[in-house]
Amino acid sequence: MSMTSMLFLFLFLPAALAVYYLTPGRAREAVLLAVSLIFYAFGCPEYIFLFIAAIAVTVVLGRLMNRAKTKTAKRTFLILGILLNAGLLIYYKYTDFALTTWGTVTQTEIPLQNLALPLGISFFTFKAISYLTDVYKGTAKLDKNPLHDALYLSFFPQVQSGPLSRYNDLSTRDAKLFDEGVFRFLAGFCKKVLIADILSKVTAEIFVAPPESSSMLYAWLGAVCFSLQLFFDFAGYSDMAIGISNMFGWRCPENFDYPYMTESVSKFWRRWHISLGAWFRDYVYIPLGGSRTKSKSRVYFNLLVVWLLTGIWHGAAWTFAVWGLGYFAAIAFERLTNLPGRIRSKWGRAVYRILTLLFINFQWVLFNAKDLTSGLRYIKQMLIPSPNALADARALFLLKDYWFFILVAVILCFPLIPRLHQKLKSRKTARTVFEAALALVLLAGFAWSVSLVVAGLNNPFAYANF
Amino acid sequence: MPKEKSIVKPLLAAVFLLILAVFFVKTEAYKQFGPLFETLKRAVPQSNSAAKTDPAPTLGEIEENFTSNLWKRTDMIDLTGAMAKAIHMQGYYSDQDIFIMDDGTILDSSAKTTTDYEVEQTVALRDFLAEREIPLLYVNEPTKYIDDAFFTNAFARETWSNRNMDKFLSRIRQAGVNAIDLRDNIREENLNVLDLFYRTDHHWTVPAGLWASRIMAEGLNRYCGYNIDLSLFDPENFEAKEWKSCWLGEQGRKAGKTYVGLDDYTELKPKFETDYTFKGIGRFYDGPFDLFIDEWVFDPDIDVYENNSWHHAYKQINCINKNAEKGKLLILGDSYEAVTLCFLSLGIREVDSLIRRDHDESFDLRSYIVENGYDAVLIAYAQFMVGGHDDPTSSSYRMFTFQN
Repeated sequence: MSMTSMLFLFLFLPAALAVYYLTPGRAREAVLLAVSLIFYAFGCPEYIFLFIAAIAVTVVLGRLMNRAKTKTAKRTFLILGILLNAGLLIYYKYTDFALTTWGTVTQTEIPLQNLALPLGISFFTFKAISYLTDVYKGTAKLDKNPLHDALYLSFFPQVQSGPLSRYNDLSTRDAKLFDEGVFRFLAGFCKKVLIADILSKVTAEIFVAPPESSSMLYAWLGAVCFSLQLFFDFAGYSDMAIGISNMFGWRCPENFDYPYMTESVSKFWRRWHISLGAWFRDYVYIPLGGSRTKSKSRVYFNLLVVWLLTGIWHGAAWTFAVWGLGYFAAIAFERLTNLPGRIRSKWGRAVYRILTLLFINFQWVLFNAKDLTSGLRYIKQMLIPSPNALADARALFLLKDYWFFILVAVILCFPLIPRLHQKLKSRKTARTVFEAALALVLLAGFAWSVSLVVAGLNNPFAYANF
Repeated sequence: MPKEKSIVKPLLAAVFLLILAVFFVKTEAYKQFGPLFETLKRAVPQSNSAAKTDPAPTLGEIEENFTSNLWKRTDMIDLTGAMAKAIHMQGYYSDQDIFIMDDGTILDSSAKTTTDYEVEQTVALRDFLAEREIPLLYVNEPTKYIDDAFFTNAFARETWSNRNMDKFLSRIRQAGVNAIDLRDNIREENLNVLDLFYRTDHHWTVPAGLWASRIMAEGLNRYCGYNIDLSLFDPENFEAKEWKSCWLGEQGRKAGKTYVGLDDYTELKPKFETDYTFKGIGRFYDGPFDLFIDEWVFDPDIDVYENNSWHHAYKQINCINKNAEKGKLLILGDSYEAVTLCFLSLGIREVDSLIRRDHDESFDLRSYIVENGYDAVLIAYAQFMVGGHDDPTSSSYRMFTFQN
């Protein structure tokens, strides 16, 4: 069930809120757990029992680990938990990838398993590993009730595509978050439906066009629109997930911080999918030794592991591995040369920013390509002029049709609204008028978004495939 | 964010909750709990496999049903349409093959096709019929542009509709199949092809159907040995009733009336006396030409999104014209024939129509033709039917399946 579907918006969400707030005290967590499992069952009925079993096993291991007296016992439970969860992920997500690769290497035809991917398995696995590791390290303050742990693992707004919250994020409830939650949910809904879904029409057309029907301008339009689409799709989803979490009184970590404002490739990943970057830092990079090892080569090896894993986490295909390695190369280059830090002039920094954005843009092209060859062919189309009057005309036509959404998307890549709000901080009346205007715009955007979904222009979340 | 509590966000939250509550109640969302949990019960893995044999709606079907019954649904479609018009997005619905011109006229496109399947099937049917001395005539019914460049210039996108048809007609003519291309008549008579069609629908108008019927009758006289009185189709023999801005076509319903506006409609009835036997399902009934038309559809007070398509007010029903002496014609047609069968029947004793997509692969068309003793077969297809066989999911997939 998509969070932008009418069934979710006008049936599931109000029913869940009503049941939750009408239930007294601690029983609310049990209710929310039941609601989360129902949500999962609607989204992925064939794996609901697997999901429940994975949650149960993870929570039991976490609790046993917490009670264990010896380090060896704790470590055993941790390793067992990680192996079980990672095993599920590897089996469901990577079996066919491994078989295909093996078939290519040995030049044999191996029948594929064609396994359906359990909903949100990549996110669930990472949350389960984070839960087990935090319990092992003693950083997770376990609730008395194990249902709380199950709720953390299954909480419905985050189960599909994150953010990858930590156990402690769900430690205290705050009913005052509700208003903020509605604001965030509405903002996310508009970002997803009004910008991402509409721009997806441009990218869907351009990325499937054969090379002979493309041109440099056409390819660039597709690439830029995809960069914007992916950001507003995922940031919109994250806003909705954060908003709904807040509506139930739970906090949720931020996932985006105006990523296209980045000064360098390294900093981009501190602004984009922040919770994933933090997960890899805390559960892969630092345990491998991070940057504090004496050997420089070891640091780069750690980075290589992190980025290779980041790549294939996003998808079971070589394009994603190459995509991850692309980030490793760029980040290793920046680390080795300290180039972003050495540029002093304003113009130099501006040029470096532009180059960074171009690099990210090419990376997204690979990310969206059906295979490596078509991704590289697309990039070639962007770099080498290939005159095609019809494709150029089509690009201009699409620009004329979608200029409004592209413009709004570009503007919203900059923190203009928070900065304006900050400027009006001391002027109460002006601030209230600004907030009221913003609320009206959000409500109007929400009405338009709902009408777009009803008119049949909705798309599933791009990030839901992971 | 300032620490001082703003009143705006609580107000916004209250409005949001109110919206959820109103839609929950007005759409009767609570009624979906039953079907949803029934679906869920069937969808989750279980040992009782018998339970799965009972049909239960899928989540997608429930979602679609819920959305299509959402409170204020048509107002929302209108809102989308109004916004799209305000921003002047002509290709806003291009993923549904809807392209909108400045005046709200909706066009669609066609992919390139080899025409191999269509040519092979048409020629084979002609050969089969020739062995039984039944003449075959193919009539190409145009789309809203008779030159692909018109569409390409308007939307900077390739379409192959006319070039596909040029290729198809050239190949079947080369194989000796008699064919009429109504695009030639449009050019000869210097007509504006857009005048023949509704703006918000892919069908042609009733007067266009009458115009085409005359040319078809001429073709039947020339190629099939008929002797139809062509003066029957003179417009002055018909009484016209016109409505302005009264209905919304099938494509227009997707784009919204606020975007494309409403269409005009003209009803035509012969001024002369007519006497028919209509072959209804399970019963035959007698009456004049007027019984071809479901006039209750022509009610401008009915919501344009809810009302039946005005184009289909003319029934595509098999009939016997008791005032005509000769001819037993089978029209292999499509929905364009709603407004050609009736007019054509004015000069032919018996006219039946068959829409191939309404019958599955097992339907034996050839036996059907022989058993019913037709003396001529007319294939009259909108030109976008060519290429339908390239896509097994297309509703036009079987339109050229004539082998049985």
